[in-house]
Amino acid sequence: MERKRRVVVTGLGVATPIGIGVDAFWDALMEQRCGIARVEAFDPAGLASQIGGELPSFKLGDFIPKTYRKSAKVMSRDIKIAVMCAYHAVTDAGLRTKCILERGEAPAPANVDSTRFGANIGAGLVCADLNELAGALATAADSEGAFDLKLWGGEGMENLTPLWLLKFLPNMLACHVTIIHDAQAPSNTITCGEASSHLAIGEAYRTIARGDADVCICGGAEARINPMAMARRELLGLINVDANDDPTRACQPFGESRAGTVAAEGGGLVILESLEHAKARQARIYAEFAGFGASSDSYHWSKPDPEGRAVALALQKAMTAAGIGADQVQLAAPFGTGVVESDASEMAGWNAVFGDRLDDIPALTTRGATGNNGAGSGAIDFAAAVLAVHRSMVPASLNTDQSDSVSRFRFRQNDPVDAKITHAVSSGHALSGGQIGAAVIKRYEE
Amino acid sequence: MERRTVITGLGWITPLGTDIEGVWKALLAGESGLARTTLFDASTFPSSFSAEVKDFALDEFLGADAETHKGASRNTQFALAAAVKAWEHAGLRAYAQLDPTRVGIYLGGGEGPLDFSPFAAAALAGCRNAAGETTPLDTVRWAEEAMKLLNSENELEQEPNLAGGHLANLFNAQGPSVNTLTACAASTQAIGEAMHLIRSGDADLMITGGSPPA
Repeated sequence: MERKRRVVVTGLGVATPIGIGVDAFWDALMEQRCGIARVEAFDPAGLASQIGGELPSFKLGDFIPKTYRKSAKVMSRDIKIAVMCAYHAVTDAGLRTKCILERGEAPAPANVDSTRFGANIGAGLVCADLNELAGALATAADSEGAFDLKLWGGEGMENLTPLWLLKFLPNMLACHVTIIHDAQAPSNTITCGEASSHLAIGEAYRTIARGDADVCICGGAEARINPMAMARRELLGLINVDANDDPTRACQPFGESRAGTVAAEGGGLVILESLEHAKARQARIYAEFAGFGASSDSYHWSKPDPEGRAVALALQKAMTAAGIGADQVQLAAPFGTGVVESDASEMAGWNAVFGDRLDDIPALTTRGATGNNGAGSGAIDFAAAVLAVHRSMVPASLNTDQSDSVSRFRFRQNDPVDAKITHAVSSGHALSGGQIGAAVIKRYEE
Repeated sequence: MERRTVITGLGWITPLGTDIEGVWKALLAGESGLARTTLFDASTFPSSFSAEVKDFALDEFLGADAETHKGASRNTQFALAAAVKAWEHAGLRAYAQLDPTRVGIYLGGGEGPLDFSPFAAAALAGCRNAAGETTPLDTVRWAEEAMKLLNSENELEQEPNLAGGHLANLFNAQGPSVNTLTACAASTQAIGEAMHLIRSGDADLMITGGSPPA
């Protein structure tokens, strides 16, 4: 086995429909706000589900150096969200990166060595801007109005701008973040649906633990409030299409009458750091990253195992890696999509590993409040669990009041509860594809 | 102490062929896999040639299992076929003592190809009003057409992590499964991270590599 260095969480940057930045996010969790409403970004009337979790408005210029502003035109919304999360994470961690210095927000020198600063950022299948693409495609219609591939290959395609593709490559999230903050150590882009954030954070943890980097910015971001992303999930039968009149109740993770997930946009990036590096710069330490486990649901690529064996395996591996048993965990933070089969698989896996222990400890999921943005949702959950450990408090979880009879999760209703948490377990679970990641977050002690 | 990691099986699906020895000979002979594009009519495109995989049939690699995975996108089918070749090359077909929880997957898989015909048809319908005139995109009209024209399985199979899902099912691989998407660096990063997962003891065997979309 590799000799492992200790890894800690020192910064959190989140962009969620209920708040941008950790303080706004935490306050919204405390106030039990819901970020799901009728979609405003475009007219959703042609879709069965017309609701989603949209971010509060933001200005990209607040998060990048002035010299970088011209690059905004090659950024899809997914990229902009990641760039915003990165700024929040870096400032929250007190890191003086190239971006912070160029913005004049801290005096030089930088307090992180760029060659030891890596990135692992989860991304989704970034949807093309339909207005742009459809407009170009429409120029390739034949006399009958049908699409003509030959016209497209000739003149039609020229109606797209030359750098068009660069907006939509999933690795462009990490690309822009690493350029803006001058992170030159390993950079990877994980694309595993809702498991992306956990797998990315887990990989960053391992990269630091084995000594390939001292600091990593990791997590994920995705923008699913656009016609293509919403149509796609609706076609797959994953969206609750009967909640247009009651959006704040639409997503009911592990609920008895759950009827699907809800589209959202958002993300989370966190700063992981070797304990040594964090101590040397006297960083505020939120928590220790104590163990990680990943697994694959081999049952079927789009139908999760009803017995949740892969979920159980990932949880078990994470706890074994952290050297703890179920009785040492004080907070359960499952993913919870509100999709019938996926939640059933997750419940079965958690029940198998934790059993009666789940009756005794609080649980937490932000899905009811923040919706499902795909690749970035896991990092939002991870951040919530880290904050719960750091602040010794578990917020209520929206829309968990009528739980499935199989569910043994004890989500808080109404008031938050004070809880000294030594270990929390947070998991991410891809709705399709079968990838699962689980992390053990530990209260930091010398 | 770090565990040593070795390479025990290879499989590839290439424009020069699909068997190790044949492609190796072609490489040594300096042959090219490039030719005029045949998968679609590219005659008016700025580039009308490409390196296509020729005469690919999933059942030649998967046998009876091909039926189960026939809905997979073309790049996922390449991943399945290459993995079967690597699995056999490594002598794993006859090896019964494998612990499935110790077998992982790390792919540098692309997103599957866009289901272009219905996508383009919906786009055109969204840019045409009732009088048949071309207009800026109307998302309401687009959505109504898209929900009729798009095929749910083809949309699902475009997700970049679906190749991993199919591989896990075919090989009953229950260990860590990850997909990276970093353009031309993806396969190399995937193989490197797979090595780390074996070194750190998270898995004993990894199926790793990449298959970008056609």
